[in-house]
Amino acid sequence: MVLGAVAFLVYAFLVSWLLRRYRPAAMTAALGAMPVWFMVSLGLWFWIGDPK
Amino acid sequence: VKEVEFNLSSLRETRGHEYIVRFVFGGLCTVIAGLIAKRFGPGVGGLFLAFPAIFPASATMIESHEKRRKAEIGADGTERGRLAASIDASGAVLGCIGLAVFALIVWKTLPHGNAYGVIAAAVLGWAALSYLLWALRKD
Repeated sequence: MVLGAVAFLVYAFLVSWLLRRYRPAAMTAALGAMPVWFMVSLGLWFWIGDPK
Repeated sequence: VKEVEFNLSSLRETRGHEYIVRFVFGGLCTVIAGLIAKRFGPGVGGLFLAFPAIFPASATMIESHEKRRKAEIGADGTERGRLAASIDASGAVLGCIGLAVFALIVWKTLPHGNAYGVIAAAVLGWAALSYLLWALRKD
């Protein structure tokens, strides 16, 4: 969950930036950035491993 | 000390189906996280407990509420709606730091303590840190 929260942080930061910089519709930004959450969370998971 | 304000009138702005969308997405994601935990282990399941399940719906609703408010006075609220959604996402960034601390407290103390006490302490930790970050950002 810690790693997921870090991924959420990156995701939310990206959505906020996209909305301010390019002004897309909120749904477009929120769904368009979703792969970033998967990449960061799974990337951290495979990099750090299963935290016991 | 900065005061957190609650605007109860915004509850009336939210329509029934908007609440349903949030509850359904949130609940669905919790069920999926549980299934993933069963299949791949609790670590991976926990990862999905921090999946942004209701965020897209919330951001979209905030945008549409702002648009609706502006439309009532005959103005185009597209820009304002997107800005409001952007501010919502900025708030989520702060909440994520609190969420990470919540998870850290549960992870490190649950094996040695009472579950209710640990969860209560983690919720307090989340609330205190989120408030602190919000107050610092507001300055």
